[in-house]
Amino acid sequence: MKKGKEKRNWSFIIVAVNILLITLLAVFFFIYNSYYQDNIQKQNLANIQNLNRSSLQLSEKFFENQQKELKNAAQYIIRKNFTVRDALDYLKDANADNASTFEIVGTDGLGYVAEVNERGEYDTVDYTSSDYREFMNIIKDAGANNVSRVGFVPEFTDGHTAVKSFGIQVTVPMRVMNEVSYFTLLSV
Amino acid sequence: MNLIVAGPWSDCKALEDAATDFNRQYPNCHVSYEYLQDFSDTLPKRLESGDEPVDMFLTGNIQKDSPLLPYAAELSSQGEQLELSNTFDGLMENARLQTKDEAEKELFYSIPLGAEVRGMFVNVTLLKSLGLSVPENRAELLEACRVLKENGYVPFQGNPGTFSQQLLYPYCCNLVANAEDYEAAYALIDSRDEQAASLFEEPMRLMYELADEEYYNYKYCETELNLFLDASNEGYARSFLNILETENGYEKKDDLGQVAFMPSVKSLEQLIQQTKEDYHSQIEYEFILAPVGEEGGYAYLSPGRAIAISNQTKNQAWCNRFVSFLLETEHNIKFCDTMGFVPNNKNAMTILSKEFDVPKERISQLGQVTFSYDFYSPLTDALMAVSKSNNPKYMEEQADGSMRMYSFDYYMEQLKKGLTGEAEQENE
Repeated sequence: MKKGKEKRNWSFIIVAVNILLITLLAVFFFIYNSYYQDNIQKQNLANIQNLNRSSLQLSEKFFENQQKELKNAAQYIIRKNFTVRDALDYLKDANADNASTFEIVGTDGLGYVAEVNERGEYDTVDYTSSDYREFMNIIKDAGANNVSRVGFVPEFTDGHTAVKSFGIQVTVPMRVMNEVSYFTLLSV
Repeated sequence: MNLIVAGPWSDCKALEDAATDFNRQYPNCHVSYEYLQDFSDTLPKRLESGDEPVDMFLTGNIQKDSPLLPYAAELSSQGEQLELSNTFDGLMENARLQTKDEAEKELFYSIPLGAEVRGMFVNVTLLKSLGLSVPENRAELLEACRVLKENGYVPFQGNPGTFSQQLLYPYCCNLVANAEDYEAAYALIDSRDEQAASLFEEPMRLMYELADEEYYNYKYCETELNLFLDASNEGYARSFLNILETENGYEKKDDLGQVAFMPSVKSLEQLIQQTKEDYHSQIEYEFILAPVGEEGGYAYLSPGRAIAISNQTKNQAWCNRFVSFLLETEHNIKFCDTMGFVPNNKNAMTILSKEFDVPKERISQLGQVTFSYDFYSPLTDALMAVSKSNNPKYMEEQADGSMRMYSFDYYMEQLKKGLTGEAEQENE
């Protein structure tokens, strides 16, 4: 009898230890998993921050470059006292970037693309639709008081390609019938 | 897989919601909505260029004279890939090519996603301030107009280009579609008989009365009240909610309004609601069928915005699947509920009847008033001429130098000339 009781006690202890071990394993696994997940999340966040920082730097560089090109083009046009046609001829040849185009738009919302079509003419653009109200608020302000000041154009449907676009713009005076009129030079 | 649907609005919640639901069902296919400004001009350019192609686009009915026909895929040839069994025959009939060529009669290039309903927005707040309730028939409508005018309001307002047809075209169509002898009425109009104009004497007379009593006086509203100065949907919403342009931009004038009745289409409701929220307007309003009949209003179903598939898309099968999804009863009802359309569903008449509590005898649809010639233009031109009749520019000068409206018979004669084709011959 005594041996049987001893045997039962040992069985109980073994089972208890096993349960304890399994519980400890489970707890350890849970803690490790949480720690691991936490680390992964921190790493992901760090990666995202890095990516965002890189994208921002790239975007900044891109815009800086576009701004510089636009300013250079505007200064050249002003210095040479170009007409609209002269400016288009210059821009067509000067623009080496296939990803962007130049447009010259008057304060009435009508303008031209500095690209020649199959007929050898410059395509026209028309931003007079009321859909372009926000866009026109920028365009119609072209005047002597904001010459050479570069600004951004919020997302719009480009009148030439009909593709969602964004752009930067600058006011440029050009000769029209021996008088000076103000236009917006757009890099789209 | 990414599909692009191009449309004319800055956003389209109905389509975006449908795209989300579609993606839930087909996780590997994303549909996105793209707004094209100056849509009628930029869409053909985008479809032509092939740069950043568009897979589907929202459109009106594409017929032979549509500039979009060269870019739209013919849809009857899609067979079982396009599931159209739940659609409403009346709307689908209108989508088919209107042609005398038997070989082309079954072709179609766009599918209406729902039906427009014409009616009027009622400024309940303004009516209540004068002890008036929403009118339910012509007598109550005219009585409300009398009280409104006595209190210095112009009861009916809207741009003359669309006012009269939105108010009265359903009435006119019902006079044909639900005539005691529909075949006889149809034949009278289709044959361009001299008597055809007499069918529409009642709506013409009602419009004449509204102008004569100055219950509608668009010129006065433009010049004195600065309302409805442009025909855009945004302009309509602002005028209805008394949001006027000041030197600081648009501002809400008050929470009472100056417009009691504004004929329009139900789909304008989401813009009106958005404008109301944006400007914190407290004006309560309702959309009802214009109660121009003795017993009440008339409902008329005409195709709302349709969807077409670009014939340049490389994803025809997926486009078919998305369009079929949009036309499934459950999804179409949800889409149309957001858009303010009646669903393009075989139960459309029942849905309409329940929503507006209108008996089926006062409902008509486009298919019942489609004739062998352009019936819509001469009728709506005549109604529009009557609506403008109290503008001094369109009045008759009298011997004493005063200006007077032309007689009712004068306008009926214009209608008769339009429907018989005599006006076209005179213009040639």
